[in-house]
Amino acid sequence: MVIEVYVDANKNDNVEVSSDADDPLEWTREEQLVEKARAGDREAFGELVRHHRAKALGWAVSISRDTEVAEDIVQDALVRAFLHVGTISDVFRFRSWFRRIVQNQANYRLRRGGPYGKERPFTSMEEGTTSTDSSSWGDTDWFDIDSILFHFSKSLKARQSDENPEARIVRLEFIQGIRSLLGCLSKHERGVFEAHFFRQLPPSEIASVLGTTTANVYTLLSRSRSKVRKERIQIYFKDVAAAMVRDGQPTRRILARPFEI
Amino acid sequence: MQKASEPVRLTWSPSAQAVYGLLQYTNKKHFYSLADVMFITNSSFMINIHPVTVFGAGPTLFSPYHLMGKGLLAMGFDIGECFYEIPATPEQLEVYVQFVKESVDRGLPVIGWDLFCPEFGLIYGYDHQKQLLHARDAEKVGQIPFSEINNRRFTCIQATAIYASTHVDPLDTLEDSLRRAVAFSLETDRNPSSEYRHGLPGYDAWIEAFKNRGIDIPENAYNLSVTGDGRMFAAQFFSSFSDTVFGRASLDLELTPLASEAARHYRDTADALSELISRFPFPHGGEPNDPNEAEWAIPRLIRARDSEAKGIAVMQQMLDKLLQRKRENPLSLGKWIQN
Repeated sequence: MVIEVYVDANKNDNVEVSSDADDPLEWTREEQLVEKARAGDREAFGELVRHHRAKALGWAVSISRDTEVAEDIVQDALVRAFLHVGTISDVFRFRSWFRRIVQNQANYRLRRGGPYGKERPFTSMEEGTTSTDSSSWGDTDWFDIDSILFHFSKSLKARQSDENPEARIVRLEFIQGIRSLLGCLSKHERGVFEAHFFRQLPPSEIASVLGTTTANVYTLLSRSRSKVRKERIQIYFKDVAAAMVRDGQPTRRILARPFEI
Repeated sequence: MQKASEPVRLTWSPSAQAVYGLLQYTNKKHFYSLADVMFITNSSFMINIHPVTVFGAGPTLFSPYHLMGKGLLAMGFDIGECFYEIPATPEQLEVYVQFVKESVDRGLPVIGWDLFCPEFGLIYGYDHQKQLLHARDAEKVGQIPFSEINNRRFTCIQATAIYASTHVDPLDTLEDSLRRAVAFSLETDRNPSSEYRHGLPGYDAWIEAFKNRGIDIPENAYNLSVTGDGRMFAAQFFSSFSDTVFGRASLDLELTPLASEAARHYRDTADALSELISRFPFPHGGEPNDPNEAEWAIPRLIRARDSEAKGIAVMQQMLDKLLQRKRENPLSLGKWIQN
């Protein structure tokens, strides 16, 4: 799905539709598009992308001073934007929201070159954004989420050059995997979780974006983290059970209760 | 017969209770009574005391292998364990659940740490469709979702399973159990880095604690209950020795008179501890740091210690007789299966 949007966006590379922030009609139209995109309408998202792509490229170029790098930045930012468009709380502020994503993406890309080379694992992002007591955030089980984020942080270029249909299917399954993983969270928890782990916003900023307190963000993050962890185990064991059924193994056996036999 | 909702407290030693519970699923269930299991696992001789506070953790500061594994091996079971620190990864949890499954598929629960209360209990079923383990510990019967296995009270999960039940000479079981009992009681196996004292020196540490008045009251009461309960079972085991599988197998060694003597000493130890338990009952615990109360308690601890010392000496005599017996085969117990 994500890929389609990109292909879509690239097709319209030459279509320059400027979004005029001062035009009230444009505002209303954009508001509607954001509303639709939030509800999962991919076409609406595609249109938003077409509206803002040129601007985004401009922001990225001004930060990176390199058009090729800027292209990558925008593409990465779009992946994130697509994943998180459902979390926008203020439909009037799509552009500033999107701009921040581009800005973050540019920062990561330009800061890279360290131990992770082109990719930036989840855990390292977490280190950078976590300002509270490290004991509650220092869990290592996010290493597994790393592999998931690795996927998202791959540049679109790599994706497009990778024409192996098998790889494409695996990638789609991966995305669906994340979807189902995060499906265990409530809407509110999901917003906070994604803001923290995908957009790398500090909790104070998440709090102000989502209209809640920082303390609440910490609570939600902690709860979400534990829910996602449990969800991962449940999804994992679904596969285990399916394999057992395939192999004709019993999936349930309960002996007589101890101390009653 | 216990109702599902009721706690099961057959003894103050949950590890021995778990072994006894597991035993009922095996072909050896008629061989051993609870008192036999308390003796074979050496739970009858448990005492591990911190010389200042008498902390309640003492009796649990031993590995599952020490608390249960050695006893299961002595009864002729081949056993193995599965152990992970938590939070365990999904892959590790799969191994753990598979370990349970394989045992349950053999018709045997596993002994698990920890389930609903921070003690050993039995996991006796699995359900991969509902992603659940069925478990029973001293506190209750219930289910543990796979996704909740990581949410235990302590830092690890552990399970012990029986792989096979093999023939064992009852005199080998007796010899091994007595040897371990004497070593533990004389503290010849002490870990020098531990502040805790076990066996006879445990009583001295306890007396020390009563003198220093820094005792943790409910934990003192808990230790009294565990220690007293153990000696009561020791007395019971030795007094009914001739009816046990060991008594029947050792007629020519004339161990029964020695066992009767040991029973008297452990009965005396249990009686002294019982007086202390009445004065410092769990969980309220009385006033062990009150000087008058401490003065009252110390002679009783001395009596318990001295009686137990006599009991240990008699166990050593029994062991000597066993070691002098004419053997047909070298000592052979169950095997530890490494995963």
